[in-house]
Amino acid sequence: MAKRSDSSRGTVHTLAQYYSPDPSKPKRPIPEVGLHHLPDLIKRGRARHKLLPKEVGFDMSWQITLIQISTTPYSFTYITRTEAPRLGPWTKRQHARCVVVDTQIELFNLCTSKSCNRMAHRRKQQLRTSMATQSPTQNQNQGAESAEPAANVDQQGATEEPVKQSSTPLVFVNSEPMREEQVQNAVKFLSHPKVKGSPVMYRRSFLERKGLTKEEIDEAFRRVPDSAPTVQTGGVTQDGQVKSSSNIQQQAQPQALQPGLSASAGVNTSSATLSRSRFHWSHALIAIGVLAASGAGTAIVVKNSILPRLKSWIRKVVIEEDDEELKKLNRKPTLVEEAAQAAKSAAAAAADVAKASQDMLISKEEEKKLFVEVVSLLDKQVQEMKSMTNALRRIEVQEDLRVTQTNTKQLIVNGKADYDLHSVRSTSPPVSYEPPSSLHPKSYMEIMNMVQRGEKPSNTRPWEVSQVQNSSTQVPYAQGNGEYLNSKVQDSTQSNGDGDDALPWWQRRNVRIREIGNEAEYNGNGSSYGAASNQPPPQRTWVPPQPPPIAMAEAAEAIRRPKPAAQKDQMSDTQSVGNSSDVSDEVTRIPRRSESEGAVKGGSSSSIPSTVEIQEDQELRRE
Amino acid sequence: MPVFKTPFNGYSVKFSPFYEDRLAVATAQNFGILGNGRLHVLSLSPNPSQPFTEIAAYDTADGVYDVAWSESHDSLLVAAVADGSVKLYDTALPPTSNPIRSLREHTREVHSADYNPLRRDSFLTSSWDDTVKLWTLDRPSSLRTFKEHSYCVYSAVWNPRHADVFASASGDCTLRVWDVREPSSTMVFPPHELEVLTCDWNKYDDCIIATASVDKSIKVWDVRSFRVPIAVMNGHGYAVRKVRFSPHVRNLMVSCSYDMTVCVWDFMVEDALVSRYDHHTEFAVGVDMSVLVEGLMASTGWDELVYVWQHGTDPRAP
Repeated sequence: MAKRSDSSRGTVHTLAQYYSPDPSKPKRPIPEVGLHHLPDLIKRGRARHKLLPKEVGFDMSWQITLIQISTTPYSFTYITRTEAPRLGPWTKRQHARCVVVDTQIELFNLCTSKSCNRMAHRRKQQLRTSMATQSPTQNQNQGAESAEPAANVDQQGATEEPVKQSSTPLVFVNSEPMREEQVQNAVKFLSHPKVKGSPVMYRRSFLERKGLTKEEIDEAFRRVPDSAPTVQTGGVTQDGQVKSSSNIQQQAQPQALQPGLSASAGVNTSSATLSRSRFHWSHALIAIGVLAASGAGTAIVVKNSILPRLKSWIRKVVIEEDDEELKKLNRKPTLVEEAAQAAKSAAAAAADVAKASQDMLISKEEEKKLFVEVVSLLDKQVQEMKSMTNALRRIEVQEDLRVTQTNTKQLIVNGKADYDLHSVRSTSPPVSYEPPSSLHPKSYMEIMNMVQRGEKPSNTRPWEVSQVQNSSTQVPYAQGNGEYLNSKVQDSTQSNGDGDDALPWWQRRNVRIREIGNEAEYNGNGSSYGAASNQPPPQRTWVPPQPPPIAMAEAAEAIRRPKPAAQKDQMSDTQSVGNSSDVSDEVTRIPRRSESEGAVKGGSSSSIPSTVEIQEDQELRRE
Repeated sequence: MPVFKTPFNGYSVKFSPFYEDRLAVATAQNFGILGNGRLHVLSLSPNPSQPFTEIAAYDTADGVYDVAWSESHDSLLVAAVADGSVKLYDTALPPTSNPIRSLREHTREVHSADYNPLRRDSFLTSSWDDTVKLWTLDRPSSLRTFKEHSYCVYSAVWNPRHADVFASASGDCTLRVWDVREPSSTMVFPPHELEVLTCDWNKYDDCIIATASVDKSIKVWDVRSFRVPIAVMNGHGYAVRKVRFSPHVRNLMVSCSYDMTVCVWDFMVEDALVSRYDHHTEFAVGVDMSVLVEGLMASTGWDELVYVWQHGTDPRAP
């Protein structure tokens, strides 16, 4: 029996002492029967431990490398080494069911190899005899492990602390037996073709959300033969994720038909293109032949029929010209008059042309003037920006002198400065766009909208090492912030305001003074600061991952409405959200919003999860 | 009862485990969407005209979403900052040398920080990048990263009885129980159908954990039998943002929610709601119960107010 007192923390390394995966290394004989040198890993049958084949190998007569051992029915997977000398060729990833009895494992139902079964049988008998001699309370049923550890803890008589430390985490483990029904459902889910295309993470998290324990999930993954995610077309996988996560058995089938159709259509088109490409060569040859033949035919036709017609037509024309010449001689005096008239008209036309050209010149000059004006305005803007960059550089220099965490802040400041130089936006429009931004309290929705539009709230300082006194936060908090909620909130803010006035403590007064001073400062700095703050924030390049569409689809399930959740247009949604004046909707959206703050923060491109959740929440409320 | 007005919107409040009159408040500008942040360290004084003294205030480049007091040093704080960094502050040092350390490993906002009450040397941070990281004070990099969730991890809380066990609540609707000695999570179950925003262990019973979610309910579970909750507490009007068990009374817990109320529950009783405080005028997002003073509670919210009051009294009473 392995002593529990000498079992160290259940790490792979302790095990590696006994079991060397490398066949070249000398193998230590296992002192006792069975796979019992997994005490810490097995933790008396309650723990699930995943061992990497490289790290752990069993030097047993089976020469099995343990991959995974789990709780009841204590199945584990192992990879067998092909170079096992005594037992012939092995198949990989055999599944064995075993029962953990104290720290021993009884192996049975091993792999298909006859010799393996013989070994297993022999071991089984050995174990059984050894077990029979041990305490009679041990039984091999699945549900008995709760009694065993308790008994064994008493029997071991190890010191209290290591026992406590090793036994108490047993509690924090899924200790119930695997539910076959759940495993089968999971297997069905995993075998679904659409699920196969999704990342393993999403499949796992879906199963976890359904309440399956880790063992059940692992069992399901084991049972499904090819559960590794295959790289398919991205659009199909996205659709597959959304659709597979909804009711697999009910909705998946009609929906599976559509992606199936699309997939098959894709296949068909690809095959058609393939077939077309093959046909191209012969088709091209045929086309060339047809063209040549038609060319020859037309040439012949032209020669035979059209040319004579042309000739006759030319002759007619020539005859007519001759007639005309005769007639012209008669019209000489009239020609002179006509020529004079033509000359007059030409002169008039020339005069018109001259006028038109003069107009053109005038307009061009005007355009030039406007252009010059525009250029001058741009120059002014450039100068302003230069002054701003200079100011920022000064600030940077100040930063360098102080000892702080400089790197991150400088990056931020530099990023903003760079944006100054590169942005073409003039300072005036944004300020006029948001006239009250510096003076009025911002509601949550206003800020969210601003952020989504790409502007920065004006009260944020570019990061300096500012002390408490310097931090001019432009949040005028005298009024309170609860403006995006209902009138109830407004009433309470009024009362809050009164309450603030009533409280006679120094903190509030100081705070107000600071605020006034800062406002003056702000107004003095005026446009330059406004310009600086009205630039979009340094773009967060990290786009938050979409939450598992399973989540969204599950919510959809809950609402019981089919929706194309993942394909909603982002901007329209956010705009509708922003423009909605329905306060109750705003209120309901807030919980979702705040939880998806992170998504929104990442920029407007990432608002899919937030908008979808908002939509779902809305619908939930409306229901 | 003392009220403190923070210049920014409050996010979290924690009592100090060393001084019964000290607490830390994490705040963020513009509701935490974008902007700077500030960490306040406040001290309560018996002087009624001056109820709060601000011991220190530290500005950060981005909002501070959570703060945790160190259990080993009475002046150390861990701040979870929205730009993905974890900052350590020492109130005993002058403000120019603070933060003493800035740990940048999370790729997204760090949503919560929790200090190990038993080992006293390590702390956890959970982030919106689906990971939970384990740190110690002396190392500049994390000891371990626990990456198994598939969405933002909103909270990671140490078990008050087992030094290596912690639980994490995530937006992928699952709760995972981890053991630091194990390579992966030891338990996972879905406590709610919607995102789980917070979790907390019972201080007296080591297997009882409470979770609260966007579905407005708080459920109390025994991790040994996690299929059915011990108690389900409905009563909040909106998502419940934070849940804390009382360190003094076995069954008592306090929760704050987006319906602007702070509720106290007793989950062993049929009608679980003990008291409801609606002193906030905005989302109440942070709540804490003091370990040193029985019944003392603090809450903060987006209305930029921090209230500290005794359970049973009116927080707005002067």
